[in-house]
Amino acid sequence: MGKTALTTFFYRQNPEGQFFPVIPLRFHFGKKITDSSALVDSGATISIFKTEVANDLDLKIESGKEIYLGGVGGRIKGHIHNLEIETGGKRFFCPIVFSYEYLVSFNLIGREEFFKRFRIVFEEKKKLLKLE
Amino acid sequence: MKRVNVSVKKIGQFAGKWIVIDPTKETVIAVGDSLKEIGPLVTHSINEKTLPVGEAPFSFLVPRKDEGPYVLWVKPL
Repeated sequence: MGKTALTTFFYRQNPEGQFFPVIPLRFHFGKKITDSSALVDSGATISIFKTEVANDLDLKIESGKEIYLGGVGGRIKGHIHNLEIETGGKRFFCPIVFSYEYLVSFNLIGREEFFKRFRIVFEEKKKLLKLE
Repeated sequence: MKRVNVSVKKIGQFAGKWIVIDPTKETVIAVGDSLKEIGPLVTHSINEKTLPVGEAPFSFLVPRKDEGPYVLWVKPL
């Protein structure tokens, strides 16, 4: 049986001292890479990122297909892109939505594609997230 | 962009700012008002040599103090 790599990340704190399962990840786009971070969110069906990340990569947000997302706060419009990301020792394409109407500070990694790639363990008591 | 050297435990002072975290030292190494400002530390050409993910400095937008608690769920409609 093949050995599976395990990557462990510490949760990150917000200014109030609360901890969140935020992990580092790298985007590969064109001739650029950027090291970003996102909260791993099993409540999100799809990943959503701040538009600043797209701008940093020189990605034209509007070139992605228009999509509407629903959440507790209502409906927001975004544009979906299939982008190559790297984290936990794996590199793969993942659908990412960028929305000017998304105002939460955290980027979110949702279930679509990402959750198929890893066995994800939240160790809430130890404030650790493991990707296997 | 301002270069700093502050433990991530003291992240509260950067509320609402974009920061660069060095995960190998668990320190904040830079702070800015935008991602563009701190971009030179986290965004590179594919031709540049970079550290592996998990060791490379990465960007993080520190939540504002008036944010949360969160119910973070989204789904395509």
